[in-house]
Amino acid sequence: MTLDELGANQRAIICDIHLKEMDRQRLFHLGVYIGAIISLQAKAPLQDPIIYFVCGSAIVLRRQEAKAIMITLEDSI
Amino acid sequence: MSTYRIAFVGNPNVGKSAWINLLSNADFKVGNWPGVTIEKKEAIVIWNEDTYHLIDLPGVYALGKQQNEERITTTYLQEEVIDCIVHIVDATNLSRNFFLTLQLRELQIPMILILNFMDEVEKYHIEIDVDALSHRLQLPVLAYSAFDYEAKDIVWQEIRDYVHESPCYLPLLYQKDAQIYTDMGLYIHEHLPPHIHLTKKALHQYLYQLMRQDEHACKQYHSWYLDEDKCYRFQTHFHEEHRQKIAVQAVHSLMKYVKQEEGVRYKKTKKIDSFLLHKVLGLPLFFLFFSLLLFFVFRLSAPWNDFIDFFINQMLAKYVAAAVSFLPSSIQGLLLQGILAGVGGVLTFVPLMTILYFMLGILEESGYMARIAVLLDRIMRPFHLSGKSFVSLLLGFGCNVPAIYATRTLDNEKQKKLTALLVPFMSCGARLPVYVLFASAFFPKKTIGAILAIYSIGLLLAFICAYIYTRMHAFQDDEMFVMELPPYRFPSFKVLLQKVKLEVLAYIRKATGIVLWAMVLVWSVSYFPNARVEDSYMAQFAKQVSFLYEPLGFGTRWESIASLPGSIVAKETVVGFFDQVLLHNEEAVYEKLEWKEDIKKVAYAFGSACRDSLQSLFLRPQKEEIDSSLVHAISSLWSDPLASLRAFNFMVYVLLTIPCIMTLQALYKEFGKKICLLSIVTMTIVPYLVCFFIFQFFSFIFIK
Repeated sequence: MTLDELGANQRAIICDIHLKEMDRQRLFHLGVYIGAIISLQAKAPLQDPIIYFVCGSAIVLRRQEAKAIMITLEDSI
Repeated sequence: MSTYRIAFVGNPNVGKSAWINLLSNADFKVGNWPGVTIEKKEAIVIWNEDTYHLIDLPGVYALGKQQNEERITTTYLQEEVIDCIVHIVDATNLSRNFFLTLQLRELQIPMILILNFMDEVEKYHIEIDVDALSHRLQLPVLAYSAFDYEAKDIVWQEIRDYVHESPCYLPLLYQKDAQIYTDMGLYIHEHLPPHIHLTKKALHQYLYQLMRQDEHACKQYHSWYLDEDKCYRFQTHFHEEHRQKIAVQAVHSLMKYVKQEEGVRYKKTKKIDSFLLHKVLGLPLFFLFFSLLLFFVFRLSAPWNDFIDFFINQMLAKYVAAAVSFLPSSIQGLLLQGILAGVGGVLTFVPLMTILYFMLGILEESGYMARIAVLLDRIMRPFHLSGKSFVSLLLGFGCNVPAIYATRTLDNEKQKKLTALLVPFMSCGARLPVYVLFASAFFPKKTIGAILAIYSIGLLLAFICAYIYTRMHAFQDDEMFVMELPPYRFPSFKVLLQKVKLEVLAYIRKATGIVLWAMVLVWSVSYFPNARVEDSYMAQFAKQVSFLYEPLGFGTRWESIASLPGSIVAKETVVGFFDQVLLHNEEAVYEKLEWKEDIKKVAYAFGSACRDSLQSLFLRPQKEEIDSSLVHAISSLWSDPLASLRAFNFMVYVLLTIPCIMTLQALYKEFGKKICLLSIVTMTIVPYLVCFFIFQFFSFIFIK
């Protein structure tokens, strides 16, 4: 499952990030890393970008990048 | 007597500015970091003959060289001698802030940790074991909020004590990692060449660098003839991904000392966002807020602009004229119409700038600016622009100058430049009088339609140019878009006022230079050789080059061309020029000097400016009457069947021609020579091409 498919009131764990090394590092510093717990906070009016709650703060990602982030729903672990 | 350098480091939005304000009594100078439009703040505080330089480093999430902010902060910390780091963290969001804390510790620079927003910590019932954190991190940890005045003395005391310390920060490692790290440390310590001595601190610093595969550290390793294989194994163990894991582990271990309900600080924010980012309401609400902002900025400031204009161009000018009346008339003209008018031109913008910066400050400090970026991201994405560029571009409809300064709110250097280049396409308020004049002369029944057409042409061309510019490598933005959405916070009035004060002072200081020279130049060419505009060098030149403008329609009258160079001073001077040339209106004749009367007049004008700016919030300002004799004179400029097309083309040309000198100087001061020149070149080619096309195309249709 990819991050853009995460629904409201769901929590998931990031299990893989298919992005360039540089971008992965940037995300890491914002608290988006493999193993982090992530949930959906809000969506922009046009459904893109999407706002997630991760590592204590709200992070804005475009759908395109969210598609590259693999997640596992928390219940299914 | 010693000098100490204190660097303030932290994530964005953690309240660093408020802390620097508090510790320096809000007395600092502002500049730019070399090559970028990121503000550099520096304060000097003297205490017992010791000098402390406080430096505000750009807010970053990590040390690195990817973004401009990161590069500045990291380079500064690595290359300058810093006696103490004051690291500000948001106490309501420690889990993310600690990642930077860990990286800063690796630098082995004495560091004080300040937990900011402690008032919110209490409100959200977050419990932080400050002593345990301080012990684990080996740092002094102070928990306050920047609005707590007692905090000032305590923090200063801590800084003064701490600059003399030389602490050594050990890494937070566990089990196998700790073992490997210690082994490597011991190995290096024991096998160093006899003439090299590393202190404990230097050794740890070196180990960190080696871990990060720092080139310099690796070279050093070779030069010490140490076992290469061992180094290789050490570095492969601590590879990038593993180091991230270690950091996560360390942050987790630190978060044991913090008890909080997850997401509590976003509870209110989430509710507010459910309105402001609402599927249907979000965008309309933005446009509503934005209209309010434009309304406040331009309506509130208008009476003050008039007041300053009156004060300088009528009152002050009268006295200066009297004082220099013994000088030859050309020098008098230079002083009054060149220099004094130039100073006036700069100063009339001050009320506008003040209110604008205040409004922008509220947007930014409250957190709504970040929402604007989210709201409009999808719409601006095809043009490689951010949602925040939209704010700048819309401001441009009021005035291009503040619009260019507003690009500072953008996060990305390329987007800043691109946005600033597009701003001049937005038809500003000063161009409106020209359109009103020509539209009422040539399109008496369709005045508004003609003016709207001009505005739309500007907007359309801006998007076309954005498309063309982004084909150029310098404006291609391939960076991933990701940002933090801070929780809504009430902006601190103190921080806002401070921001406004600094920005406005910087504006006045920067604006005066270039603008004065341009004013003097334009005045000279329209004055010499014999003080008559019709015979001036400018008029002669206009007559010479008019053939170039004939294919554009309006080149058949030299007056239209001669009016253009003056538009560089300010667009509305085009109207004044026609007034002077067509109706032979003389320059202002000053009244007698009666200083008592004049002081009364100034006081009265001041009072009515106060009244009008308040009234303007509730009442519609009265429309200025258009001079009908001038409209008549203008309508006789062209009388052939294509007259209205020629007039329309002239309006288009005024819209697109080289931006006014205030805009150019804003471009120059913010982005440097290249961008300024690029704007001039664009605004020379584009209007010519566009007008050429319009005239040739439509005249072809009409004639057929």
